Amino acid sequence: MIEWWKNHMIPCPVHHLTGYECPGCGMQRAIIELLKGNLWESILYYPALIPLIIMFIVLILHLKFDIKNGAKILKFVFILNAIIVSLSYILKISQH
Amino acid sequence: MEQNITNPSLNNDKSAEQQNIPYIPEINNIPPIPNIENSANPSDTNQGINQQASQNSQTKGFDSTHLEYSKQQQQYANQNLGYANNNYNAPNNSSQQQNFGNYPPNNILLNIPNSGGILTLGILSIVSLCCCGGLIAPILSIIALAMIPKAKKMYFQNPQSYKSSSLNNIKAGQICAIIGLAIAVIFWIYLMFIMIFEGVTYNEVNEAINEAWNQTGY
Repeated sequence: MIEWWKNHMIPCPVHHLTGYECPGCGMQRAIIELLKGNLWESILYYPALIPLIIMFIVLILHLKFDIKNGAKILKFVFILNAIIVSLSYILKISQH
Repeated sequence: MEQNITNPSLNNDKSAEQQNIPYIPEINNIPPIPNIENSANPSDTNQGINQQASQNSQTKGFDSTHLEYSKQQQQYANQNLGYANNNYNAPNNSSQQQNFGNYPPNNILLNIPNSGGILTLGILSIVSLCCCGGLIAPILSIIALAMIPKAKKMYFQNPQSYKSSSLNNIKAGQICAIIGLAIAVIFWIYLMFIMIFEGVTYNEVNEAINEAWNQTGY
């Protein structure tokens, strides 16, 4: 099943039309590597994936069971995510 | 000697001093709690006092003659006997409604409507930036920012009846939406600049531009 997904990946519209990469390019490959079990490869492909997953889980838990200071936790994790996404994108661009 | 009924602490009674009755202005207007087991109709036990209460203008809209005390209200009223028992401790519930007198309990806090939606939309704005490109991220954050003023209005009209955690949710959702919108807009501007100044290097758009150029005959 993972092999099928690898051969039929969803194309990124920005990368398909222009040659340039968007801040999300590489996330599908990172998810596939994570499903296979390789942590380090998934971090190489998209370093912000695991913090994003953590933020999603915290959001769902906070909406169901009111976690104390849940809003503050979400704020910090969100800012961390934004920093990681933008820094990795800037690094990716400057390498070409 | 005339006894001061409303403020027994002003009396020069030994009994008053010994008892240390605090000054409670509404102590005369509290109707006694009826016994559910003894009387099926609670208004039977309140007749004399209720006439006073209905005449008194301080009990606005509270007419105990037509009330049927449920068990919950009975329990709550029994807890609040501290008013008459001189064991009065100031309640420490500044975030909840205060209940002076035998009013029925209303201490259920509500969530501000759409507070969960604002939070999820603010957080999804950056998730969508990573999933689908910079296409729908500014839309989600604008929707989140548009829902905020109404929700804040509703909260400030009646801040006692809403949870404080949902206000924190709205604030967090606001910050997340603003940051997501900023990043998406910066990315769009960067894309526009690159496409204009360096040209597009990939197939479809390039082919379309070349065909249009060739048709003009140059």
